[in-house]
Amino acid sequence: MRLFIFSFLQLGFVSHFLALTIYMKTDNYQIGTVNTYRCILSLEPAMNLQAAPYYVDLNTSLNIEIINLDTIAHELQWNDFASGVVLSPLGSITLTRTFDQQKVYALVATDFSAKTLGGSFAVIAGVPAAQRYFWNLYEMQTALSGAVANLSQQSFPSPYRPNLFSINGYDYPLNMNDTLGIVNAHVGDSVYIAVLNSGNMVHTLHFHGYHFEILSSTKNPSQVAWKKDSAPVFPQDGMLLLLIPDKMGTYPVHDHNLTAVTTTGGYSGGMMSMLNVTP
Amino acid sequence: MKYLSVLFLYFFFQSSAFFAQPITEYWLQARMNGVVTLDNGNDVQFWGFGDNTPPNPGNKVFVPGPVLRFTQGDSAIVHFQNNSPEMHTIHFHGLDANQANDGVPHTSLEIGPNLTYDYKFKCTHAGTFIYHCHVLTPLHVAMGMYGLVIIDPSTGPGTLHTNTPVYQQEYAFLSSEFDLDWNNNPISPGPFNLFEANYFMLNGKSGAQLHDGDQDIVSNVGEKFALRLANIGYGKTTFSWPNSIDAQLILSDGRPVPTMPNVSEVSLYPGERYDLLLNGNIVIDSFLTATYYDLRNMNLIGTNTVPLKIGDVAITENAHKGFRIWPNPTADFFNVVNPLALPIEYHMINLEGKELQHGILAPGNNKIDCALGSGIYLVNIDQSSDFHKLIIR
Repeated sequence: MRLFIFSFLQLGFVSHFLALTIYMKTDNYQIGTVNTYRCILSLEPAMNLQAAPYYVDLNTSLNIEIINLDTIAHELQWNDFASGVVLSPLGSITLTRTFDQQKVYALVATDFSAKTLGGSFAVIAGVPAAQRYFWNLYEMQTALSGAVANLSQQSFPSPYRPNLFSINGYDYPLNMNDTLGIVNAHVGDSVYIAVLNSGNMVHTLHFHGYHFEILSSTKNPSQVAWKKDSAPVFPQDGMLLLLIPDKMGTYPVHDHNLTAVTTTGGYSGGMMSMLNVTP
Repeated sequence: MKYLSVLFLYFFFQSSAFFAQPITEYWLQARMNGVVTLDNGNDVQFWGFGDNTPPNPGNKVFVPGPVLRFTQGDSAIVHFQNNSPEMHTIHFHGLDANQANDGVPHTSLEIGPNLTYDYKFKCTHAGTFIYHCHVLTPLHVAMGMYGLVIIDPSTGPGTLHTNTPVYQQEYAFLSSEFDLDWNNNPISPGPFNLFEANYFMLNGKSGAQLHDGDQDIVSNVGEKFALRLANIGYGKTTFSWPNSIDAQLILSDGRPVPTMPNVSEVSLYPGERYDLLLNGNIVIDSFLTATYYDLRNMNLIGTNTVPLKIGDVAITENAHKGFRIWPNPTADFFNVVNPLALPIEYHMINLEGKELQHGILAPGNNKIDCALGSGIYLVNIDQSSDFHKLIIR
């Protein structure tokens, strides 16, 4: 069946649609001293917490085949769509989409388990390759993550008290070698930062040293085109930020909900990164 | 020696460039022995910032700390003295200071006990900003180490931004929270991800304290008033006001908001600021409402209200004529900045209308000692309708 859909679309749009395969899997990961379950959508079948996004030129059309490596069903949808698709256990499905705006398209899980455990994937369109970075925000109450993964917990924990806060899978300072996210730029560069909130709560990013412009946001469109130093990133939103540094220096970026700059309750840690700007 | 000369020249030109702009200075101190009375009458300890202006620096800190007010184009110097047994810094949130002045221990530097540091930055944009300690931030902010920075546009007070409409009155509210368990036991708080806000403040006050008169928003039909809103708490604070008041969003985070839309409420996530221009259409006696939400589940966890009165006569007591008084609240002295080129008289009266002292305000800054005991006083400029409320604690 999968083959059939794929072939049909290939026949119809041979010269326009590129093929992309995404693997989806929930697994246990070690982040420093912290152990947590996490659902990952990745271009590689060998899962990695630092799952990269997929960059496309404007007006690219993709046939995206999503292969579920889990033994439970999942649901997925684009975060700007009203409905999604069901992915059967160990099954697959193919989605077709044309990416015609400069923005962060987010494919997000909507079933309880995969959504809670951060299942999401970003397709980033129309962003120049020279200076582009990706920050995938994710927080979890790790003690509950196993029960969410194996479906023994099927409703959102209340109270929710996350103890792990991460960017691209790692908490500060483990993320200091994160090639996807650590900004290394020069004064005057146009730096594009794609932010995907795979977590379950709003994270407010605060930049030290600079203001940034919000180029796009699906969940918070009212702040598009605003220049800010602190801005909320809503769950399952993809935002595109533009930073043009006006001076050199090393400046922190962090969630200003200060419970989030911690790891298992210790400071400093969690959702913090650095901007490195040289002349 | 040659290198020394080069260095000297470098710093000479650096400093001449810095001092080419008007300099506005403040003196702040940090202490860890603050005590604040809660809405329920209990006292609780906090850490905070207080005025430290020579030659007679105060010895008290406040939550929030003194408002620091500058004019766009100023070169700002904040002389910081740490009068506490632990490390502290000042991070000027949103002011985009350079790395040396960013106030972050591991990228800038932290200021040890009894040491001083002069923070310098340029006031490049008008708007509302925050300063706070950035050492062990989840604890030091939770303990009260923050305050507001206001930057008037280069044209001076009275507008939020160059070319936006004039306002007659201005009110600033800094939203914050305590986890009182931390205040009661700051030696071993935490884990730091488990801050549980259980006391909700605007300008350090909560509940009935916000109704004791000194926070009232008072304006008149047909006049505009400015609301400067900021959130240094851990959650979301939503501000709302009566429907009959038109509100236009002018600035956020010290930058003009595109299209400057009309809004009926605003929600501030941690670290955000919104500057609004409001216009009362009818006489009302109502409230500005602040609701607090826990970001982990969006549960409503607190509410505060501030009296908001739109009158039909010009009796406003906070009319902003460009005079500014700081620190406010204060202990035993205050400064009045006279923006005029002429000396002008001031009278200090109590709420019964009795004059307690008077004097002359020279152009520029005037430090005035007052041994009046704690209470609310009015400073009247030139026997006009320009009254400024002064709180002595």
